[in-house]
Amino acid sequence: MEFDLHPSVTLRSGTFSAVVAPGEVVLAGLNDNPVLRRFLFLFVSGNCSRLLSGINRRSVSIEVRRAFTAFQILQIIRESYHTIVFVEHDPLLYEGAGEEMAPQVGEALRQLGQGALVVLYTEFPDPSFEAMARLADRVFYLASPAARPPAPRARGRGRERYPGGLPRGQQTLGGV
Amino acid sequence: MWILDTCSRNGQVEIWERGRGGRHLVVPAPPSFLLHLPDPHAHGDLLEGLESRFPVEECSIRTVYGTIDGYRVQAGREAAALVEKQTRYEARIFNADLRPEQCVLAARGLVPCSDEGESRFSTDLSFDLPAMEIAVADNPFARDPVTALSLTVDGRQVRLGGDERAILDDMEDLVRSVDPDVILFPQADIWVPRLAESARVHGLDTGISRTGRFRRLHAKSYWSYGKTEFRVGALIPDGRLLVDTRQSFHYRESGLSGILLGARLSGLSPNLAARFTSGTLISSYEVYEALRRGIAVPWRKDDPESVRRFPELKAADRGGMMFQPVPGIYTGVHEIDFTSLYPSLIVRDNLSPETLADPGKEGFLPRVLAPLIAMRMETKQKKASDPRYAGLDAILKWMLVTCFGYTGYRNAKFGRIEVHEAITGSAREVLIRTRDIAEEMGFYVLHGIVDCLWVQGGPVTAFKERVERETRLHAVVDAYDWLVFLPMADGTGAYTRYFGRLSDGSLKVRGIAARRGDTPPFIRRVQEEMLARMQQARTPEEIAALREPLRERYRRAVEELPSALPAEMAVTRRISTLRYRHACPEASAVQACAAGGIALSPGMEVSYVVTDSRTWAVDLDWKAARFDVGYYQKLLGKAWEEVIFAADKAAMRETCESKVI
Repeated sequence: MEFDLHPSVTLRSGTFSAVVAPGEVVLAGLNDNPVLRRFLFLFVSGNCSRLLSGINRRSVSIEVRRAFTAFQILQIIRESYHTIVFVEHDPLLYEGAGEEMAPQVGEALRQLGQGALVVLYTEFPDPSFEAMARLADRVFYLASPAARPPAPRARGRGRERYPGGLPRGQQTLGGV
Repeated sequence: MWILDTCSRNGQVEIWERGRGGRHLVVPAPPSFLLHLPDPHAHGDLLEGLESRFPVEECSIRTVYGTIDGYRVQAGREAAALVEKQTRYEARIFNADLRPEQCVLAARGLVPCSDEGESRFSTDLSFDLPAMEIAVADNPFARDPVTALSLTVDGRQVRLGGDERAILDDMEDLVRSVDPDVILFPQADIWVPRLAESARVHGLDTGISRTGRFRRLHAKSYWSYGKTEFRVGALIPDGRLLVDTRQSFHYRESGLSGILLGARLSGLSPNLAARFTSGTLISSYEVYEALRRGIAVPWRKDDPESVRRFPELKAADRGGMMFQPVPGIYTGVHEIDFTSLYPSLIVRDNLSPETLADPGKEGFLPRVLAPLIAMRMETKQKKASDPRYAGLDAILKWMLVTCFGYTGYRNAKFGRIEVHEAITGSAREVLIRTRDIAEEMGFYVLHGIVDCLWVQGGPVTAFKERVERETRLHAVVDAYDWLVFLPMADGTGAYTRYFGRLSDGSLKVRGIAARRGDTPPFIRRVQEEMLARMQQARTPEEIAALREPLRERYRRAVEELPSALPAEMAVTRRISTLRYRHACPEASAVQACAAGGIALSPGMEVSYVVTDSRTWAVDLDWKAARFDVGYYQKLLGKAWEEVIFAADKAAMRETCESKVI
């Protein structure tokens, strides 16, 4: 089984992937995705989910479990029987839980990813996310559309940069 | 044995009896924890290793969910953490992070602040503790030596002055000769560390601790109900109750009797009960109850919510119910208020983590909260005629208020989010049913917030009786002569900003300038004066007649404002961070404190005066020499609008002769 979270991100069963992306990109990939309706899909989040309220409940058939501590997330991962497990990372869960906790959760995700399609997602990576992502099979970084360099502003009338011809020696398509 | 103080130190628990010459017991309390391994055979090496280092015995572990097999390990938390790691967090560990003094008291059936045989749940709390008041006249935030200190015993005050050494010497003599059980001391948690350090430097003792030793309670910032709070660090004396009367929330709200009741219920030293939040008190109470009942307390919160379908989650996670009022002034209004609604629902509906799967089982939370609710009913009734019960009522109220939030707290020992949601779900049903009953009986519903409903009509006694009978919850009814619901900026009714005159002539005020904690004293006083005038009015007609006098008071306030003292313009707010991203008065106040050498932590309160609202320039209140008149005129105008809204509506009502405007 595989599904496209984004045109450039194809996720497959038997893998653990870490994804850093803007929320709207991930929501676009989850909502109205026909593949996700056919499989058991578990969405795991912390207390404050950035994605949950944006998921279209009619388009996706998902089950949800929220964890309020890192120990709970470990328990959720161990109890999971789903084909797709999507974990929205919450750094607050790891505060005060000890340094070992994030790698431990990462290891549990890696093991779960041997039989399921496992995604660990965040919009803003932090040390605990990085610690888990180190154990992922693949890590995807998707830039925010807003963060792309601005496109050249269209002007009313084109302005010729070099009216007297290209500078001498410059190799451009125009000069080829 | 009437226990005044307890602490744990070096594997021992120390217990102090009240009174001069009270006993001081030292009880061995070696650390231990309970361990359950899902598959003990898979961890044979670990068990062998544990047994080679620590006493380990097989035992049954009684949890709220049922009894499981396990081991009692005579080792501390460090060993428990290692076991956890070695088992890859599969081991379940209990009783690893409990206060040893709570464990000792629970095991021996002892209760702090209580005579032998006295019920912990009695509301007749009698105590006769010799007390002393200490006050320092100097600025606690300045670093200068103490120059003036007073001690008061039985109404007689002794003032100490001169150099700091002489003051400390005299103070030690006086405290030792009086030997009080209780010291009431404004800003004690700031002063005592400084006094103790100065005394040490001068080769003296403050006399505040009965052994000369102190326990340190570290300062901390924490997040509570969406706000950053700060608990100042403290030096806690041995064998004596030291209350910071300025900073102790429980002292301010419930006095000494409330603190002693909090200690009695939670099994904590009253020194801690005075300094801990209500949430910590209720959680300590639950832990103490669990220990007394032989129930193991989980170390880690590892029981997550069950798998839920998305629509089911959306339906469940909705919070409290509110009805929006129409802004205006109303007469003949009754407010029906459910007493301790959320904890009462926990008891009524048997809501507890373990009853989610087995509703027929008697839940731990309902069992332990039922006696507190019974006490609250009693104190609420008694305080109406005897103000001595007001303190007990206040501490119970706050403990019960927080017990609901605690069910959803991530580290709650006996909480689960589904319980939290079930409570709010039941509360929504209760409020809707109450509204339906009101409407069926011909009442007009004006407003509703979570556990209160405001209605017009009658007969109210029959309404209350029917609501109590159908909901099986206790309610109280307040009658208003008139009640004002204020508008929000968009003109629709504000949910939590209202004021009105109750039928006993008192004024109930919520959410307006006079009630808000950050209102400058000048503006608060002006609005309070206006409200005091309105309080005399029994009818909207009488309020309408006050329009001109109120307007005159406002005009006078506008005139007086530019010449008011800058300290009268102090805004007191809690800072949530030390790094504000945007320009705001709190950011400027943080900078001003840093420049003044005052160490701040998130959650602390700062008082400042705005000197230029365009740049949010501020001065600390005690340094301020000027203020931005235009900014404070706007604040005054807002406070005025809250008052004149009521008077204008009353006048319109008179004109229209309409019942509801």
